[in-house]
Amino acid sequence: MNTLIVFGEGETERRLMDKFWRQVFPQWGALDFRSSGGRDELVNKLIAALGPELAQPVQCVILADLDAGDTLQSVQQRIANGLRRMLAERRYLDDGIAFSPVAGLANVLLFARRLPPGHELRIVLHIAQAPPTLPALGLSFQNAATDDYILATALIESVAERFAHEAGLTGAVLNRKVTAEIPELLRANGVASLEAKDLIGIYMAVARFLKVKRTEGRERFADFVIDRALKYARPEFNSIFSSLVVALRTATAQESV
Amino acid sequence: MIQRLYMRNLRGIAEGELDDLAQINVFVGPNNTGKTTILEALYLTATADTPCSLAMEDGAFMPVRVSADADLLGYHPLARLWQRHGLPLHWENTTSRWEEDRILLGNLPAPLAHYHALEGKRTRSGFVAGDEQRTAMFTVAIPQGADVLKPEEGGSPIDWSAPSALVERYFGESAAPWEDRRFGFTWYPPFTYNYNGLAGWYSQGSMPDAAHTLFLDFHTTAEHLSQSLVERGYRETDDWLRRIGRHFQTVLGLDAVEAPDVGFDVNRFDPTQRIGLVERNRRLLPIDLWGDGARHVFKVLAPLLVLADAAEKGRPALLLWEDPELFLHVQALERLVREAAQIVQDKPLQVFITTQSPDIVAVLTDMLRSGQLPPESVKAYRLALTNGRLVSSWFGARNLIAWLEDGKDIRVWTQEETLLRYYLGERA
Repeated sequence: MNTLIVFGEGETERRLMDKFWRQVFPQWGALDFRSSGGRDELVNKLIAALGPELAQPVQCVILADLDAGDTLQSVQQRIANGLRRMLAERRYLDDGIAFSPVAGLANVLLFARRLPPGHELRIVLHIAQAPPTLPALGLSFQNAATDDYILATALIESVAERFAHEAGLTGAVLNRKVTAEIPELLRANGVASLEAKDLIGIYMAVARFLKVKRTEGRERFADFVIDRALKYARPEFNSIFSSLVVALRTATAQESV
Repeated sequence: MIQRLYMRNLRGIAEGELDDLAQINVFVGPNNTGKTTILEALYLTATADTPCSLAMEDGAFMPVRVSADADLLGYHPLARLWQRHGLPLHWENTTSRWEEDRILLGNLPAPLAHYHALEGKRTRSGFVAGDEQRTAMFTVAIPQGADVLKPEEGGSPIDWSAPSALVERYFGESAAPWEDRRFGFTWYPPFTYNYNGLAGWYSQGSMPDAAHTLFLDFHTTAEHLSQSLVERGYRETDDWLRRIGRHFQTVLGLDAVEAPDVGFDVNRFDPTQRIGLVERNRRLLPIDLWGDGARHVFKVLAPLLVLADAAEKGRPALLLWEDPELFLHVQALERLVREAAQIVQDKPLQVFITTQSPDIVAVLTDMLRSGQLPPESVKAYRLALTNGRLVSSWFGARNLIAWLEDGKDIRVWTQEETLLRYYLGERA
């Protein structure tokens, strides 16, 4: 049985991957998600949790956010340093850690190496980047995170229509309030910096998610968003998550590099 | 401390090694992956502490060691291992033959073929009849220790180069250098991989002797404590009986009123009655009349306290512990592991545990996390065996804590295999 190990920062990533895995890769095998509990702990968690796995073939995806002040290169370097420490701790020769872009995507990077006695260590680093639909809606954030993908999916017209209907609105109204009216009101009142997770909160409030679904968790909201996108907007969903699909296929060697 | 163990053609292991061993080492993994073989390799090495000579056809000698008469529990090591595997204690097909005070070794497999006799003072009068049954192995150290058996004046010389030549022929040049290692060989067929005739292994680091080696398993629970162990405990271990009672009380969760005293009835000669637990205001109740869990706890604690008190710098001790979870409720197991870890802590006493229990891993991890054990003191190894090749994956303190905090099971190689997850419905 193949197992894909996925490292992510928190519960949203766990939910996303779990749902995503069942829906997109149902035939492949098991998913083993490891949560770091935050950006600062991601590298330490990677070393602690992945190290014991190196005695067997490893297929792994690391989901990293792109925080303010970070670049694709700095995230890549931080992860590479962690992997180097892990390999040194396990007494593997240091041949250097070199990530290669996959399928022309700057935010999907592969590191693969044969480890003695001959099995493969295959790690794909996926660094979050805002899906193109967000800038098209005039949205830009300081950080890029999994929430960007959830927000972009929630704003797909046919998905928003479903949430809006339950709140007695239309999709267009819901989206306008989330992307323009309420953020403008907040900015006018001194709340300058809004991130994707803030807009998700606004979306949940306007769609009366707590009342309709009787849960206030952003993670549960993400579940509903993904379910509805898979059901009503599969092409758009595939487009938003295209880099993640490439990352997963590359890690599971389903896509040639 | 033993730092490394390498095995070749030993029982089910065609080849395998373990590096950077810690003070407390826990081996987990599916059945038939070599866990017990690791314990047995260490046991054979530690208990081979009787110096003698292995004579070559040209008359030269190589100083070696053969099995002692008894380990800490009083067992003859080879007989103990054979018995564990249901093998007859009488080795009918041995090609060895006792002759006066030596053992003639017939037709040893290469590269031992030109060695033909074990000689020396295994007992006061040399080897005795019956020893041909018990000399199916030897160990040789590089460099040789100060206690090697010196040849008699005018006798044949020691060939000091023989050990290096032998191990190089068996293990190959690539495994050199050989210094600071003790090499073991056995030609007892059932202990060789696929009955191929010769098994070899080596350890690196300081190795205890037989009197400081304790092997606990199913048999030690079921059998009575030996007279030698009881006398040694009574004579050499401070406050032995009271300490057994105190730990026993803690492990079984008995309150102070229920706590039994441990008694030693010297007027009884039946070994089953020689030591037992005196319940308050009642007669001595021999330990073997208690339940299996209590018997197990008692027979772990009694020799372990002897071993821990005997361990000293320059004369380390070794605990080989198979399946500590035997017969135990999870809470008693947790307390037993905690008590044992505290007993051995700060002692020159190295522990090797094989287990199928997640609780043992969890208890030790909790002790690491809370600082009750130093981070470098515990390592767990997950084992697999593929075509005889031992594959191991180690978990240090940081790995153990990360895995257990994630709710992952270190005993299995893929998390999909865990039945617990299955029953909890995570695969639904």
